[in-house]
Amino acid sequence: MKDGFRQSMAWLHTWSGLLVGWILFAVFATGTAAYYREEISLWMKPELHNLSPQAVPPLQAAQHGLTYLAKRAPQAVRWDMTLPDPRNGVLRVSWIDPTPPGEAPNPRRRRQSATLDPASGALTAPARETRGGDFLYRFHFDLHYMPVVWGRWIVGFCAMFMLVAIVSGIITHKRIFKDFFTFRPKKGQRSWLDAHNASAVLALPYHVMITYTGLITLMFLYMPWGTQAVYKGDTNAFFAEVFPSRQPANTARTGSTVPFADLAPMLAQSAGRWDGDEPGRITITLPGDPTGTLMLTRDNGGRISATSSDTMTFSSTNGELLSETRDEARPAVQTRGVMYGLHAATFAQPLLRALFFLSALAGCVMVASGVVLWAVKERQKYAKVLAAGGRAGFGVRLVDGLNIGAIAGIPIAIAAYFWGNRMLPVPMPDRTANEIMMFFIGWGVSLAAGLIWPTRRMWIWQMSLAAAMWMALPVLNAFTSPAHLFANAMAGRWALVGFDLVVLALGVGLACIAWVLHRRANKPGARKPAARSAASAMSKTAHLQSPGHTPSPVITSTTPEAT
Amino acid sequence: MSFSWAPIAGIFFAYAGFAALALAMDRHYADAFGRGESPSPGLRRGMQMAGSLGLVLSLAMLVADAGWAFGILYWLGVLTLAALTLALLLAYVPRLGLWAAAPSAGLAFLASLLSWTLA
Repeated sequence: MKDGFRQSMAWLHTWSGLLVGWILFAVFATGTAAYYREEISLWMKPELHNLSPQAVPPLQAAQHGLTYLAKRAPQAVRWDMTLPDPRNGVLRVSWIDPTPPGEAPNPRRRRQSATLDPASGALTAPARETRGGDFLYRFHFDLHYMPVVWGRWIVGFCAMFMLVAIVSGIITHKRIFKDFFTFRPKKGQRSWLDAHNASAVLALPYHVMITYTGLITLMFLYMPWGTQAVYKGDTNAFFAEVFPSRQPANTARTGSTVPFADLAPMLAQSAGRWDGDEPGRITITLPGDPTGTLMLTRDNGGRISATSSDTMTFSSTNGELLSETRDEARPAVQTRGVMYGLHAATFAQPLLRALFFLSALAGCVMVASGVVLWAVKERQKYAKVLAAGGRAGFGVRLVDGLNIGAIAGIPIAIAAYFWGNRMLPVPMPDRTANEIMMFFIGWGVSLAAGLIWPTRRMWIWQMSLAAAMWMALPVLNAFTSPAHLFANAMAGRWALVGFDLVVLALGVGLACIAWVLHRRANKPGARKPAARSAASAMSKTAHLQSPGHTPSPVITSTTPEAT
Repeated sequence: MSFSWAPIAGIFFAYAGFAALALAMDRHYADAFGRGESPSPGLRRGMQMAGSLGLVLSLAMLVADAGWAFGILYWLGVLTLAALTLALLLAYVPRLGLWAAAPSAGLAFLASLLSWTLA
């Protein structure tokens, strides 16, 4: 430790952050979007936009589901219903047909499903094929076009580096409290450092929590050795023991058919046991059979932990309570459940979700400003070369290109995904895959263009493009869905209104960045062809002079915005 | 989810608290009162106490409303929201950002009152 502790930590912070910064930005941005994956999925299925936004009581929804299933699949061995909740207005039903004699039982293959309007019990209009918000959610930890396990190892590797960067960053930051509220715009490198510090420090509890719990969600993949040693490699036995399955066992039908018991007393009983919480799922085995059961599973929206839920099992013929399970998870399982719940925000509170979203946006800004800061600092080493009309080193140009491809590229990619959802023909073969390909085309083009021309002009173009794509989404929605923003607001469809307003706000944010970059590029002293060189030469002197006089240009500049 | 005034109170208490803490710092005090000015020791101490009290009241409102587990989560999120807002205001309209502490505290007390009376 010749250099002293803080210098070592600064070195560690720089490199642990930079090396994984671009993937981290993609992971952060898609993860931020995933907080609203249900809303995104709804937006991406305009066929469902006409559903009434009024909440349907669970009893009514469940009875509609039973009626439909009794008609559609009377012989099924099992029915499942996922009841509507505030974030997902449809009633999802599925059933498993009996295995024909002579075939190996394969419940997964025999499962069929349908989506109902909970208010009327009718089938919803067939929605276009799309992965919706689920793609962004899965990409956030699985990536894409590669085996899932690789994606998870890559993301886990990046998350570990992120954790190192956070801890070393806290140690490196000398003035956490003195600079707590400090953001000094228009001061080149100083502004980037301020933006990086503010977005990191002011949302620090969130950043630490999300990075650490992110690793925890996949801990069985990253740290399998304990399990393997104790269970002698039989990980299935481990999972069966830690997460006991509460699925009722399938038994054979007796042959006779009896009517269903009244649902209302069962729901009343569960509400009494669960502090008024409603069931989120209803599972029925051997429907219509005298030995049939009906299991209610508690909706977990009211708590942080995402461990297995409480259940109550009734006889489906006389409504008698047969058995009940409470969440009796042991401390270790409960701890993991809390971490998982915190990471994925499985709870229901809309304000808390919005606060998480805001902190996650701050995380995007933190990663983006961090990688930009590296390029801004590094370029100063080439001040003389650039002033003489030369080029910056390969490393700087590479980082600049990757910065463009990540910080402008990811917003472009996500917007391209949304545009693809509405512009691709609805009856298209492989529509889901093509929508996802739009994401990667947008990203790939941005990245390639950024690597070939890592210039300020490229930044301005791409940020403007991203801004236009995001800001135009409400317009696109108005033309390609049943109702525009104002009609949705009048009808109280707040999920759709929220989507439009948030993409509009993000688009405006991107446009502001593009505008600031453009304005500064056109200032005297920073004009082409020596734009970048002059800029870097001046940036050294800029913060020595009094603020406000010199338009201290930033060299490479970037967006603090993305989702 | 039923509407509650308590998170509103929590947000405004946090903003008022942070703004008071900022006023106790030389840089932000100078932003409001001119270059080179610094708060008197008495004012500095007073603002630090008032600011800390604001943050504590924010926590109290949120915990009273949502319990400890969710209350602390809300509080951390609210602190981030309030501090980011204040930092942005201080960068572009510092006087407004600091003076907004007074109406913010007023709104916080009003919302607390509403959350008690309507509870």
